[in-house]
Amino acid sequence: MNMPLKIENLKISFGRGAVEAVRDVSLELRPGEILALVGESGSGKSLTARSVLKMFPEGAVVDGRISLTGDNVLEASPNDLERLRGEAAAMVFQEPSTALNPVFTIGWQIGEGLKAHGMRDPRERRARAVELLRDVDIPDPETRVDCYPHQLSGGQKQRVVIAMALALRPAVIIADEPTTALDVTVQAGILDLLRRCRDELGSSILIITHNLGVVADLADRVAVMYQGRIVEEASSTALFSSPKADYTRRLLAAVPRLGQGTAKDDNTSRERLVLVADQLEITYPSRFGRTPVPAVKSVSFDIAAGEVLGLVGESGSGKSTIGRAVVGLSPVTGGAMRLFGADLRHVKGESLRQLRRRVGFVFQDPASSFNRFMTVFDCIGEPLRVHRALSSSSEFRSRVLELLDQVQLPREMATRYPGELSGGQRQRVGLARALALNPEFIVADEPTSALDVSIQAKVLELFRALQKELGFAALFISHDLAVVEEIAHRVGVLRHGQLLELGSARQVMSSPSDDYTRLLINSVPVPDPLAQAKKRMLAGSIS
Amino acid sequence: MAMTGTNDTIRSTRGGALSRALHNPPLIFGFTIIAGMAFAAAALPHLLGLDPLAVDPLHRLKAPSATHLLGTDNFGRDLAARILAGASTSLRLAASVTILAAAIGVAVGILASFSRLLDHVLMRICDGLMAIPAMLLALALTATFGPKFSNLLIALVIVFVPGIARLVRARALALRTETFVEAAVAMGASNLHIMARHIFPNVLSVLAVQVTFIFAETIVIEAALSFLGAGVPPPAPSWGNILYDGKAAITKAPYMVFFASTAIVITVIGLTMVGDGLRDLVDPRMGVRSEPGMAKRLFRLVLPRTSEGER
Repeated sequence: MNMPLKIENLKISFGRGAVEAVRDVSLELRPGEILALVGESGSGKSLTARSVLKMFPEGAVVDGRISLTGDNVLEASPNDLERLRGEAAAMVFQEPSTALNPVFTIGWQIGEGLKAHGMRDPRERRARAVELLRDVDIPDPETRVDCYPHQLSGGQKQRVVIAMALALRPAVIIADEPTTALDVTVQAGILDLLRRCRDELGSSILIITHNLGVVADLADRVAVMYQGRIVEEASSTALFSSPKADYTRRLLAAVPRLGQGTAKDDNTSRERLVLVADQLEITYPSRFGRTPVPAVKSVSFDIAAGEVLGLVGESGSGKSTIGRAVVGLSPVTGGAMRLFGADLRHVKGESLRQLRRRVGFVFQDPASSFNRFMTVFDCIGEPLRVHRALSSSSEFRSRVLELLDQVQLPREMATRYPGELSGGQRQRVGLARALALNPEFIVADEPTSALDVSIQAKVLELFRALQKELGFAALFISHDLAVVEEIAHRVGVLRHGQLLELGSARQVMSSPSDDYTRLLINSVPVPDPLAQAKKRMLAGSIS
Repeated sequence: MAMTGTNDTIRSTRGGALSRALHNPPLIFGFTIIAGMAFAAAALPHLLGLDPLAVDPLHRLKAPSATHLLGTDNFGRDLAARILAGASTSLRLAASVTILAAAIGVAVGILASFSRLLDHVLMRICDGLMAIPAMLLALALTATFGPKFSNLLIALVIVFVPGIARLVRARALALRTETFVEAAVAMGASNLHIMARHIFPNVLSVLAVQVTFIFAETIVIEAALSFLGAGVPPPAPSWGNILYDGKAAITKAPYMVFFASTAIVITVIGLTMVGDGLRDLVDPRMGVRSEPGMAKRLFRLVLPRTSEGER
């Protein structure tokens, strides 16, 4: 049988062989199959996928053979390549907002590919674009076809990108992390759409992802990549039930699973409250006659000493805004937010500084949260310096080294610069910096969402251990339900700035009372193909 | 592990700041030119016993010879001595102007980025100053206060501060939204701490590049002002003064104008190379699309600044 896509002994290296990004990868995509390529960042999975369309970064040295519907891509002439791109294989990119050109209507952009492949009549192109938009479930496609990308939501944009990929009915669709930039509830819809592409159009799909839940939901077969090699290739059911390679096993173990979080002894007394939000309102000020944007609407919750409250929500739900308001990075405009009893609306100057001294903040992106001109030592010691907490320099030094020990980083790291560390190490430095002044309260704003799963697992474990040891209270903000369940004693669910549900982690996750929470929990793909298939059946029978 | 991979790549970009500088021919070459010029201006007159002010009426406008390497001018003064002394004047002036303008510009730029009100006030003043052509402003100031080294210095500093302030402010505003600055705010750091520890080191990179070009521009403007009689007062030697003297005798002694302009051109080329090299060092991406070419920038240096806006 003729394979739509066959990669043989693909090798990609950079800098005259100094960095081998892809080492001897061989893959086969069968007709009508969904193959998932799984791996952490830097494993070479994206590079492998892009090589199918011969899209290499500058300076890549490539060796091997890629046959796409019978043609060797790597030796194809520019003319052949133009034909192959779009007709034989099409690409769906990770970030839908940058994959679309903001100055053209989506209809024009879908038509662009059709025109390049010989559809001359503009009316015909438009009709085809409308048809495609209907295929990908864009409501009201006749009017939407004239929309500009910014008029669509993120999920809709990704649907348009998929429509563009489908335009020429390619044999192979390559989807590079198609749902990573999207919220879970939106992700579920996109995954359904991709599955329908296969079922109804018979396309073969190569999907690249780091999310094992997505793999379990969608893929027939899985290839696991690690350091440029394929370490395991198996059918999806076999891979999840009996992983063979050591790395796959570690990867599967690291995935936080919803509903399996260990029970946490909730022995915190509610007598001493660290943070109280009472009908909290946060509205970003308007500029020049625009209506002000309310980010948080009458949200009430409290956090007792030693308690971890998880805030979950999708993007735009106001969860980060609340976290930032705690340290005064966002303004409190209504209601009250009391930190250690002081109302943040009326605290200014020196008393605000003293409040901030008792709070640590861990940021989402460890790459940008450090000044690249300061060593790790200076970064961690900065809060101590700012508040002149320690008088002698030897005390200062020993405190920083102690913090490095606490976050399990070697002491030699002190002289390095943040840019030289890996993402996980940097987030540990971020944690050390937050802990420097022995805060009673820590705000962690998506501290692990920029990290790979295996590293995320380690950082979470460290966070939990430190929380237990030092007993600080924490506001843990995340979009990942499983992560929150693992860390938090109590969970709050936010949507459009409103707190829909608040309760103990176990209760919210196992028996949610709000419809949206239920939707949120159901949308998370479970890293188990059988369970996921069952869930899908169930959802199908309901609707 | 995957981690080691990132470490390697990152180490090669940072730890090798010096080695990257050494692999940057324009930077090395330009730096050698400027250092050579400064060394010659500082050491040679003493070593060779040259006096730029010694008048010798019997040997006026003599062509280059063994006794007077570059000939003599219309007062019989040794041209080599005058050009070297002029180099010292020009470089001293340019260095002082650059340092002062950079210091004031950085202070104004960073301050403006921290307060809305101050921002409006300071930037409107900058706009006003930048609307006047640099040459005209310098000419007006030195004409009002008299041609003196210190007045020239003040005039040129006033000319260059707005540009630097604008540049620094733009960068500082961008930096203020960076996470590490927010992190500092969240830990309770004072504004002063944030300015000094976070904003300042991060604006240095853009500043370094801008400053070399200002250095070059100062030399050209100084020469132009001296040529017009509003710069360094005669008989003190400066490249502009030599050009002015040479203009009167251009038919009899064209080498005067030639040697003085050569000195200016070499210095400015050297500085432009340093600037280009620094820019590549600070932002490797810029090197790929080497926009405004060196020739174009050189050309722009001698043109009036009016059309340039805030470069």
